[in-house]
Amino acid sequence: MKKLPKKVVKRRIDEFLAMRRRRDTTSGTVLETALFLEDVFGIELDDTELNVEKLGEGADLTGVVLEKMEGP
Amino acid sequence: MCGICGTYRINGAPAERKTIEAMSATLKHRGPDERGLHLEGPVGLGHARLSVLDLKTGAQPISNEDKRLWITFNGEVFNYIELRNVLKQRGHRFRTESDTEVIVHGYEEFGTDFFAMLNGQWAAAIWDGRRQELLLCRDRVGVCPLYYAYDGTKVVFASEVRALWCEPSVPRELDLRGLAETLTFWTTVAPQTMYKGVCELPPGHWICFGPTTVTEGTYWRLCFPPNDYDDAGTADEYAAELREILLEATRLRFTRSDVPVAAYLSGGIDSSVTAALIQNFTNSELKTFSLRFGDEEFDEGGFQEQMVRRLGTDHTSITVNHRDIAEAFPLVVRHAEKPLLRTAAAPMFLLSKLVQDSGFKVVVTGEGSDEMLGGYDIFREAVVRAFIARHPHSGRRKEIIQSLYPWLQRNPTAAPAFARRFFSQALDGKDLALSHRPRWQSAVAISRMLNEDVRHEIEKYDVAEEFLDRMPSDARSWHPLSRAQWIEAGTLLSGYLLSSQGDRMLMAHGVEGRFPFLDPQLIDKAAMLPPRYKVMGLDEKFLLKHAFKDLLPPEILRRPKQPYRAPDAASFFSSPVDWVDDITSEEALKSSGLFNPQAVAHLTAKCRRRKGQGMSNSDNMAVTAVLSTLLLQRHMVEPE
Repeated sequence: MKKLPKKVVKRRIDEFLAMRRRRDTTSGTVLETALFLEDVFGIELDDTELNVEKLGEGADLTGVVLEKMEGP
Repeated sequence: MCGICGTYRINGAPAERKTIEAMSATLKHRGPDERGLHLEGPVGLGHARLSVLDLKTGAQPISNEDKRLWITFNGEVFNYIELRNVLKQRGHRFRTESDTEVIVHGYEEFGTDFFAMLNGQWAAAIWDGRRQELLLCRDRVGVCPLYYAYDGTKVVFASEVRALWCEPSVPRELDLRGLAETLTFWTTVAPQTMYKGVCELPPGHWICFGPTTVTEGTYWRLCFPPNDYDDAGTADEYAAELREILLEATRLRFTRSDVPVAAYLSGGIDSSVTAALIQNFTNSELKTFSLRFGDEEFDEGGFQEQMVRRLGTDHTSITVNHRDIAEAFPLVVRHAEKPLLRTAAAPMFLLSKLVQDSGFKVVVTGEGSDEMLGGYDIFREAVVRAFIARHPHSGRRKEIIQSLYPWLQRNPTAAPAFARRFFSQALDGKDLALSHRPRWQSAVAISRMLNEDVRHEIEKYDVAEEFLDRMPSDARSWHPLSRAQWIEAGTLLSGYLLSSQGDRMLMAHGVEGRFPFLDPQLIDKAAMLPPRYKVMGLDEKFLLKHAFKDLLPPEILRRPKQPYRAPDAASFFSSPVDWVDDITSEEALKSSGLFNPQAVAHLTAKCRRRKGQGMSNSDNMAVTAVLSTLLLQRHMVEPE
């Protein structure tokens, strides 16, 4: 996993969210978001984290990524 | 595009005019406008011309200034004007305005390095009289076909396999290894063909036959950056670059022609974008063509009409029904020269006839976009399988399949079968073919139709692993999507999409396809794009849609990707078809020796009972594969 500046993380997430708005669907949001975050930022999420609170609409996705990048 | 052919008798025996003439005659559908021939000692070059550029002086074969080099050429070099200027500055003198002459001078000047300078689609043979060498070469991705047979004493080459058989020494026999590849990759992969002793020159390659040596080379190969490649660009920046490159690629392909150019308009994003871009380069009404299906499940007419209204094109469509596909299919297989696992080539064959009947020789189409910019489901599957493979025991992750394919939720009977296919292959994140294993396994199921001896023979070949051995050594460092793209380009793009469903169906009626999405600059740029701009989350072709959102109606922009398909079993069994009954009779099947008569009888009985409706994916592919292979054996291999 490569650490990235916050603005880069935020920009990539904003592009993803803009794509979702254009597609005009909210189905499968959590898993698609998890796939995107793992794929693009190289982080890993466990099953307990695949939930609406953490990855749903309005969640702080940038925070999730930065936290994972910083490590425990 | 055209048809090319020739022979080189390495032992010095003179080339035979009647052989070259016979070879050219078999290619007349590719080049109905003119025939040409050059005989020079042991070499004979033939040409069947479809006149598109330099109508008056572009006849072939053609030579350089001192007649040392001769070329027979099929295709187009879109940057020939720029290259001609470079060569003129270096002292070369040109007699014609054709793109072909540029290659012969360019090869004289730069040797095989010149091929990498060409922006185009081509297959060519160049004879060097001083060195007594015959060189064959082919475009980067395999738009134009080129086959050869070499037995140590002579080389026979042609655009189509059938022409090779005008030389009696070329064997006329099916190669079971070719069948093994077809039942894995859904096509043969060059250099393998369906015929013993016949090779296909791989895309991006050249091969040179001299008096005592055979040398081969690769001038281009598809490459991707490592997964941790440091990309700094934004979606807007990449979109602007893509727009500029595609605009120029479309300009070259639309304007560099001395005959009128039309466009296909399928109702999907790719052809809609290319047709919209063409509007920048003409003040006349663009002529567009499309396919419609009588079977509503496959029809995209509504989207086509929407684009026609938006662009204001002069549009003509052809509606294809089950019966049309069944009637055309024997001729389609004859032109494809390969078994087909789908009938989708048949409507393309009928569409190119419409183009020819309408007086056009050239069409611009959207092919290549899905492969280069991440449009296929198999690419979305690649990232999904990698997602699941990171935690293979997580039941939660597997639920993402329902977002990938929402229809699974509405179809409880198909869902278990799909899940078996999708998950039965080990989800090993390190597997180079993580994306393609389920597909490759799906075609292997067709081998149950084969007779036992043939099946055992085919099982000896491990074609999948041998293909993966050809992947570049750094492929393990690529993103899973990049690996999937490499595999797709190396198998289905060149072997099927551009061949059985592309060149062969277009050129059956003397129509040349031009593909802006396969412009070399676009391919190289697309390969370097961050994978997230191809498949973002589960959204395919993200960057293309982002780049051209102002050109397309929202309905087309937002529509889920619909792969181009045609009815399979329903075409052959919705009503009786004489040739199907004939070719699948017990006597015919026994005589063929390829298939198990009981297994085929069971499958065709099921198809007849259901009139081909509601068949599984596997049954549709199996029945199409059986019928096309039997047609191939009867019409290609058995003496006429």
